[in-house]
Amino acid sequence: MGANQLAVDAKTVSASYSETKEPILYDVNLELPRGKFIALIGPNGAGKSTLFKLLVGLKKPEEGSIRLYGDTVKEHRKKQKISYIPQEGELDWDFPILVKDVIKTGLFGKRNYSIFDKLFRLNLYKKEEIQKIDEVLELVDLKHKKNSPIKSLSGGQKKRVFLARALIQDADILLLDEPLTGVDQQSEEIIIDLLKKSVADGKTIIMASHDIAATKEYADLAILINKTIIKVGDPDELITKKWIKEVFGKNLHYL
Amino acid sequence: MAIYSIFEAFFIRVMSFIGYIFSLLPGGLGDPFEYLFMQRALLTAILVGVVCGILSNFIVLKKWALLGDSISHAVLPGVAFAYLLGLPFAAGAFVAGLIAAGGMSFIEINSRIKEDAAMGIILTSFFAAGVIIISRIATSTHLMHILFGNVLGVQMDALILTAIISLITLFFVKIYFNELLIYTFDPIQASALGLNRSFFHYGLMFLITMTIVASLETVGIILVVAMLITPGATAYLLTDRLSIMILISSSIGFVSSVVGLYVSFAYNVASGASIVIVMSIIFMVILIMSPKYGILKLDQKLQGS
Repeated sequence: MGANQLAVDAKTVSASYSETKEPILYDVNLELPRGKFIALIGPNGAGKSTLFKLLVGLKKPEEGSIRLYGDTVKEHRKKQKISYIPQEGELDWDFPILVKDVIKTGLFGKRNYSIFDKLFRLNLYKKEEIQKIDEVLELVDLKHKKNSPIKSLSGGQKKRVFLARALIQDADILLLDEPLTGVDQQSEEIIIDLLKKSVADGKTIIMASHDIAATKEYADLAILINKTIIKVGDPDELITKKWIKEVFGKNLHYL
Repeated sequence: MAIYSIFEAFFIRVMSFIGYIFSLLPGGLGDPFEYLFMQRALLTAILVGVVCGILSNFIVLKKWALLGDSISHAVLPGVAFAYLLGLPFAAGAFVAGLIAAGGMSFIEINSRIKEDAAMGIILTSFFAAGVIIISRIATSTHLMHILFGNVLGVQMDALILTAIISLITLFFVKIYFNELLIYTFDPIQASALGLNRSFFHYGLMFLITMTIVASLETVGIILVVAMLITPGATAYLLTDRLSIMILISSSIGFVSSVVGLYVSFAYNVASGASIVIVMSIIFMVILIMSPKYGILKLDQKLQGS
């Protein structure tokens, strides 16, 4: 497979905490194909969130290089084709923002207004774009919450809003950090359904999840991670007692 | 300078307009504002009130209240040195602010002291150094004016400096409104969208520092902290949209400045403190009465009945 056909191509990447220089990730080599549903599996502190931060360019690798869809992270960011769905605890839900405004942040990349326009125009969104907001909210079954503040939504509904944002952004890589933790059954079904559809449309999904047993059902590929990549392969082969013990250092009773 | 004379001519017109409007008020209510110095003070106070009001939203949402406090105290020695060397206040404040910020991160990185303690140490030591320098070079009235402001004594050049900083802030927030919204709400997505987070982080810091310098002569560097927090905190209790929050907080800045200045003239009390007290009273009323987020939760009670 040519390097340009890969969604993620990481070579000897390492990262550490800025204060203590203690490594979080070392010698990470990853070649992930496009259009796959990829599960990221590892214990707490294994560097899953750090890997996501490296991919969105929030953290710079100390060593090594990362390419996304053939571009460097910096080049890829300019195309605004990566979307991140945060963990419940990562954002301040008291923030004064309505559901439709959260969706609008996904449209951000499509804006080509001059400084003059930005300075003097009150509404920077076109009719089609406003319509698009309704469409993606329909997809996640939250149209009725369009004008509600984000804090009034349940955990699962919040996740669905961020998924809708990724859809309107038309991102080719979706990063999801524990998207199913604290999520009700209905939300989980909607989320997994939409993710499967996105993969069928050729999007690449990388999802960190604690629910390893369920992961087996929908993932095409599994990455076992603990400070470094332990193994990449078919979930049916990797999500077994032997490998899980290897990664987590103990048996997980529910497997 | 050309810009100076343009602003000067503009403000002289605005001031005579203010004088005219107030002369229409019945019963001598507008009398104080017939004086030129009161018109100048009113304009400066309104500009500082509105700009602080706008910036206060970001300070509240980014939880930078202690940071604003630190900057305002840390610029004092810079201002004193600038005064000593005959340089513009803004330059001295800027350098002092940079050194303070550097000092804070130095302590944080090289020792086990955490951010809040590092900030506390730096801000108090810088402030003390500033007080020492000022007490050596000037009379205590001068020190009082820097610490607590003297808006009634504002000169044209201070008004023009305030106006320029206000314009820069207004333009920055309007042009980058969407960017600032993503940056404050969801920094990871901001990064994924290719936004330069340092630009917005240091852009906001720069504007806060400049606003503090501009407010030296109006409310002084101690009370400016209130102006940089209270309007945003008040607006935060009233709305669930950032755009509306900005409109509310800048209106609170505007109203408090006008009312505070009036109270200050009418009862012959300190002007900066009067403005801050008006602001605090508004906050208190909203804290109790806000329909949705007030202590009384009036919204629920009305729906329940």
